[in-house]
Parts: sequence; structure tokens; C-alpha cells
Amino acid sequence: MSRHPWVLALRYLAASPGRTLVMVVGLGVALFLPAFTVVVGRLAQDRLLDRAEATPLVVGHTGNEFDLVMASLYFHGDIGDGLTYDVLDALTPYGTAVPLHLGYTAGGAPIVGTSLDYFDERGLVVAEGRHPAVLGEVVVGSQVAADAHLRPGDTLRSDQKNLYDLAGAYPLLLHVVGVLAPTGTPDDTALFCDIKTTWVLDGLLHGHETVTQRNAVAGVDDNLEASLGLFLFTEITSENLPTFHLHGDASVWPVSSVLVWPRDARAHDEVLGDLAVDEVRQAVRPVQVVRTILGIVLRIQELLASWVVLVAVSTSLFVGLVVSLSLRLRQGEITLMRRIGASRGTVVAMLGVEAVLLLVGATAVAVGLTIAGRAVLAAAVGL
Amino acid sequence: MTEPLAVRLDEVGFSYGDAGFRLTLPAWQVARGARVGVVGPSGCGKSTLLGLVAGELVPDTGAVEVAGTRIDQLDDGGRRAWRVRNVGLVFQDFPLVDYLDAVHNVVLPYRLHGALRLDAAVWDRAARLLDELGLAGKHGRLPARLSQGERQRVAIARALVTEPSLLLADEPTTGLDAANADAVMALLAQAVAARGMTLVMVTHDHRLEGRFDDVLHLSGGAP
Repeated sequence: MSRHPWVLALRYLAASPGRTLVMVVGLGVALFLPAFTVVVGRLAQDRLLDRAEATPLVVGHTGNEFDLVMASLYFHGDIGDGLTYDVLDALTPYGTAVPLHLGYTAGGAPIVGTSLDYFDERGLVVAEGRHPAVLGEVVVGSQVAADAHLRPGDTLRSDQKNLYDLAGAYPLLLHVVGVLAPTGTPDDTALFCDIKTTWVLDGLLHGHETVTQRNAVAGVDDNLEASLGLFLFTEITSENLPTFHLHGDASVWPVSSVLVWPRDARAHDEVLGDLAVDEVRQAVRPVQVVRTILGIVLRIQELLASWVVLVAVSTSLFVGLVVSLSLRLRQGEITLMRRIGASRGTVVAMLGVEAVLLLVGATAVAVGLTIAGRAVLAAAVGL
Repeated sequence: MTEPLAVRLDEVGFSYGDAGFRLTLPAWQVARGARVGVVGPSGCGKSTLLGLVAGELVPDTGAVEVAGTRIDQLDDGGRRAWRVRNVGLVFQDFPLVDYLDAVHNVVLPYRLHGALRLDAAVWDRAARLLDELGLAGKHGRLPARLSQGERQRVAIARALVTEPSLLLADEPTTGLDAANADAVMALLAQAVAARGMTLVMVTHDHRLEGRFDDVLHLSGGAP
């Protein structure tokens, strides 16, 4: 193809930058909206599915399996504490069983009480600092660290779970000892600590000033009954750490759910089989649950897609009208060109190149908006 | 020895489908280098005659020979290729492409047909033409920034840039006052004289008849 149609088209578009800009941006936005919906939809689906595929089994209290998976994998929602710690004894023989104790937040970010196995199984790397080693220590996800400007050595306080629960546990000052490398998963948006720290948040494991005759309400010597006014520590320090203790048997302390990485396919099936008849606990395959959710989402997307088709048709009509009006306005120019030597093909080539250049510009705008939209989404919801 | 002819029409008949109009020319000849006017009232077929000579229209009957070529026997593509090489066209109102500057408007025919090659010599010729026509220093101006007279001269330069042997002008003085009409006529006459070209100009301005070597009077579709 000759370069002349390109030269003429470029000169036409450059002669009225304002008009060209409006057409490019208008078309770009029209292309961007459906494209962005599809891209973000696929991205969200991939993210959900990747996480689910990386987690073979989740064990939780019987009930809604969607809630169990959403809370255990994506830290969305509250499933309560339906299990007790001794569930690990039943699951450990089948592979790696990682307890999760959920339900608390700090600065709005979920606090995940778990064991060090969680970091290994999820492939989480501490980019700065170290793993939590003692009560009250947390490592924070990369997004949490970025949003709250947290570094090792900083502190943050857990959120009050219920403002009016005066008898409940008080917010605990948490010590940041590490920041995780970014993973592009929900782990970036959470804080992780040993499960015992979350029991401190529960108030089950606690430390307080020494009970003496002075602050006791009853008893003698080493069998004193403490007053309700006894001072409970809301920060764990090296000085008060030895005073932290639990009352009762730790094996019955709460666990929200357990992530299980079975050692082989047989162990995988055995866990499912054992818990299939359990009235209190259930084992679910997250990938199956997420695919069910995505099936529903897909149907909604198909419905949206039909609307996108309607939008595309109306946009095409709109563009057709603009082109038709533009050609009418340029009839004099086209007639002149035809009379001084242009064939119909030459005119069509020139107009075609203009359309291609506008489309390229519009596509660039759509891609730019999509990238910007992705960045906004990433910052807003970590997607 | 027979005088060389620029244009020869023989027993030409043309009609626009069912429109009722019919142009009939038993015989018409224009000598090379002549300045010929075609005059007559509106609707008599002046522009149709110009279209036949330019090869934009094809006669229903008869022969049209221009610069030695039977253009009525050429196909569409052949006539267009012949036209861009041999005919310069000046239109009523001197239309220009408004997003091209003066010099790009002048070389426009070279961008529109593959038979013409846009090279350095063409750019030089276009610049020289503009300078000759009094547009030195205004080569890069868009039409919107040129006066009406300057626009007319750019359009004339465009008609001349391909160095055609025949210049066809379709009512270029319509809408102009007497002074401007005279100026355009003088410009065209000077341009064709300097290049030894033939000029066929359609006009309904009887005042200009004295400026032509010969005048063809059309009335109601027949001379």
C-alpha cells in the first residue's frame, strides 16, 4: 500500500487535535468498559481458583462450605470457632494440618492465628525481619505493611471486637517482627501470628499482675481468689511474658478451621471419607467449592455479556452515525479528490487508514485505562 | 499541413439517464495553445461538455479525442490515469483540502494516483509555482489562513503542477466581482500562455468573451 493515504490520514487527524482526541477517547472508553469487565472477571476467577487449587482440603465445623472456604482461604467473613485444637491430632497423621484461628482484625486487616507450617505450605517468604517467635508478635502482609507504613519494630493494636463487651478481652498491642514478600494473594492483606496470640485476643490465655492478699477478694496464701479489678496486661513484654498462662486444657481451645495438605492421594481421600460421616466437622475441597461459585459468577457474566453485546451494537450504531455525518461533511473534499485523480479505492484506503489510526489510538486508551483500572483495583481490593 | 488539435469532438451525444437533458455536438475542435470559452445559460450543458473533455463523463455516441487520445475508448482506470497526466482542472469556488497547507494542496494529485510520482522535482515545481503566483512565504499556511484570492491561486497551482497540456476551468469567475473575475482570467491566461497550454473555460460571464481566441455558444443542449 502506498504511503500517501497514511500521510493524508495523519494530516487530517493532526489538523484537528481536539476532534481527534474526542473520537479516540470516546472510542477508547467504549472499548475499555467491556474489555475491563472481562479482564477483571477473568483475573478474579484465576486468583480465586489459584488459591483454591493450592489448598487441597479445608476442615471446619459443619455448615456452609462456601463460608468455610471464603474465610479460610480468602479471610472473608467470620465462621466462628467451630473446632477445638485437638482436631489436629486427628488430622496430622494424614499430612500437614495447619490450624487457623480467625475473627480478629488490626487496623481493619485480618489477624490470622496459625502455625509456622502455614508459611511453608503457602510459600510465604519474610522479606524483612523474622517469623513470630513469642506471644504478641506478628508478621504483616506486604499490602498491610505498605498501607500502614509498618516495619519490624513497629507496633499496632488489635481492633476492639465489640465495643460494648466490657467483660471481653481488651485490644492487644502487637509487635511487628517481620514483613512478608508480596504474593498477589490474600496473604498480602493479612497479619499472621502464632495461634496462641489469638487465644490471648480471646482472653483465654492471659497475663495479669500477681494476686496478693491486697487485691484478692477471698482465699489465703497460694489459693487466692482474684478481684475483677485485677490488672490484665494488654501488651506482652519480656517482663510480663512469664505471667501469661491458660486455665484449663489447651486441646479444647478454639480453632476456626484447619488447612490440610495430605501426604498423598490416599490420605486425601481418607480425610474426606472419615469426615463424610462426622456430624460436627466437615472436610471440603476448596477447588470444588470455588468452581461452584465461579459457575454462578459465570452465568451472571454471560448475562452481562449479552448486555455488553447490546452496548457494542449501540456503540457501533453511534460510531456509524458519526462516520456517516463525517463523510457527509467531507463530501466536498472527497468529490474534489475523485475529480483530480483519486479512485474510489484510494478514497476508501485513506478513510480506512484514518479509522485504523483512530482504532489504534482508542485501543491504546482502552489498554491504558485497563492498566490504570487494574492498578486502582490492586490498591483498593488487592486484585 | 493540418493544424494540431488539442480537442476534437465528433457527433457527440450525451444524456443523464432519464433526466431528460441531452447534449448534442455535431463537431467541435480546439486548436493546441488556444484559449477557448464555452458560454451559455445555466443548464445548457457547459459543465457536461467539460466533463466529456476531461474524461469524467463518457459520451453515449460519437468520439472524444484529446491530445491525440480517443478517451471515450478508455476504461474508467485508463481515463483517470490519462486525465491526471494530461488535464489540469480548475473548479468553481477553487476548493482546497482544508487540512492540507498550500504546498501540500498543490502536490495533492501526486498523492491520489499511482501514475504520478511525488519526488523532489515535484516539490520544487510546486514551490516555484506558488512563488510565481505570489504566495512566497505562505507555502505552509492552511487554507483557513489564506485570503480568497490566495486560495484561488493555490487551486490554479494545483492544476498546473502536473504540467498538463490542457487546462479546463469550470466557471472559475462565478460569484466574483468584475475586478476579481478579470484578475482570475488574467492569471489563467498568463499561466497557459507561459506554458503553451490550451485553455478551455466554461463561463456564463459574456463580458469575458473578448479574452478568448474562440468562443463556443451553447444553448439548450446544442451549439
